Amino acid sequence: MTLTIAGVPVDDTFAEAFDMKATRLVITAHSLQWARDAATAMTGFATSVIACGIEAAIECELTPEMTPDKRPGVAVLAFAISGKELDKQIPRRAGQCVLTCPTTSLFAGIEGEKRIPLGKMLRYFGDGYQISKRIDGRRFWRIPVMDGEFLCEENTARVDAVGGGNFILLGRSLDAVTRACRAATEAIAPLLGVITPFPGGATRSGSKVGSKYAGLVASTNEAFCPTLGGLVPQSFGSEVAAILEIVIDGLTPADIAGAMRAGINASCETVGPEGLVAVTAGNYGGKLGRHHFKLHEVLQ
Amino acid sequence: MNGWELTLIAPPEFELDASAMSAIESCTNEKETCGISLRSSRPGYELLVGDLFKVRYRADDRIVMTGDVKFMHQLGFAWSRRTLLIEGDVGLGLGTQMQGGSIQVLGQVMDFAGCQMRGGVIRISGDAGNFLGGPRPGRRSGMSGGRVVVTGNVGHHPGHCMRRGTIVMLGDCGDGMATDMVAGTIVAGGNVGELVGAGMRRGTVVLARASEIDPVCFTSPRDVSLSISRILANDLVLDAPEIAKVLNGPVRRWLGDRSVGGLGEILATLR
Repeated sequence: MTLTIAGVPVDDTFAEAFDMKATRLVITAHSLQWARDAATAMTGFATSVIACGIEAAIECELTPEMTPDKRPGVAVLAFAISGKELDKQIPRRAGQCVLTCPTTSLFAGIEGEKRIPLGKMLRYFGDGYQISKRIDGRRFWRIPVMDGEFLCEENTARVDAVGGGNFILLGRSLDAVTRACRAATEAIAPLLGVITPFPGGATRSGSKVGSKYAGLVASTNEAFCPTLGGLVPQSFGSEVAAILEIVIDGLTPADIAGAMRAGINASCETVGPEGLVAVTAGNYGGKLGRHHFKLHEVLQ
Repeated sequence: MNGWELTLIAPPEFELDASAMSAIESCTNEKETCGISLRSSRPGYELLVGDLFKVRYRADDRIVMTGDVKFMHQLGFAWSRRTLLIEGDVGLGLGTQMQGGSIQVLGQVMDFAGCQMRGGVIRISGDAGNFLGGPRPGRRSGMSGGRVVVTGNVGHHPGHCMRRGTIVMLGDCGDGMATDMVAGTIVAGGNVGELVGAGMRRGTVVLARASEIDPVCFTSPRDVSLSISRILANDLVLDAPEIAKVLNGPVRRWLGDRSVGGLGEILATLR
């Protein structure tokens, strides 16, 4: 059965996603701008676990009523393939990107038993002048800095999550596919529990596992490169001029399915069949990841 | 789980060590409850709960004591999980080494309430004596967790040697508040006596009213806006809403006690 959304055919295939570990951090500051600056720095080189260690992005902005210290802030979601990698990346990024940013404070944003150190490691920057404060069962570290005090929660939780949910937009033109892509990421942006970690929420460098070059774990997926049409086997014709992929990490499979649905609907409705040839998804034959998001089921 | 209602028949002529009363937390029948034996100040003399109180079953899981029990000391010793409500005055050492649950007193308590407590909540609607949340005599560590809220006035040396936890005093308190404090939070809603924070090493003292702070032992005050004070305000909003309001804005801050190399802080309203 062929499924179409706003006249755009959707392939009967699935996105293959993986188990990951995740955490949520809350960064607050004197103004939303400073909080965003810290979060942007922290998530700046965090598009893919392949080389960045983690995938991270701003989940949402928070009003003062929503934050522990009643200041504006942002929530950041970060995902890694292992708890150990998250334990390594988060304190490092918190130390270099949040501690350094004027007026910021850093808090745990998620509940869970397993913990990732934050202030537990960063406190040593206080060189003996740091103060621990336990309030309502939560431990905070207060580190004196040049603009006052950097307040940082002792640790944050890490939870099981899912990474690598995706859909791929096959466009008739570069202009059409980028517009469809923007529409998709804008539709996903307000959803909680998910992030699209690539620049602008999308990637053009969809990859396959391995390479002809030894030691390279991922390389370009020639089956989705229109410029190689006629040279390598491809599932689409010459009407496809450009392809973009939206990659989604989420705290639960339901979060990812919801984001895929919102993104596909928005992209198809924005440019229609005049802009998109089809929507498909990336997978590895179902052999690598245990989460399979079948497009037709997700869109029901 | 069932509760018990204990109504005082008549106070004894001597004082009692009521630390064994905490066994009532796990009593399942009236016989067991009445059979709890309390040591007295008269050597070799013991008194049973059943001789002292009229014991009745309660459908909820609270333990309610009615009557002035000033002759009972160490009541709520190592209390761990249930709710104890005392409608009357209580003796020394209420909630000593308390671990959890809650104790509520509708009356006055004598010295050493919350002594070395580690968890749980004590609420006192009247006044409390000296060394609230302090160490037992001869010990070096005071309360290390939990929360004590006193609606009335408090005697001298509240929070002495306190290591963790929160003390909220809505009334006035005597001299030596937070002396030798190691950590934790102590809040005074009324007037405080002399020697606030003397010898404190870490921890937070919050004063709702202006007070004399020793200029030798503490830094000169600075007006600051702290994230931690707003988090503290969240924590105090139910027990001390007026003080929470103060902490939500800029506060005046002293650091000390410098004479012992301390990094404790005293926060006070700017007014």
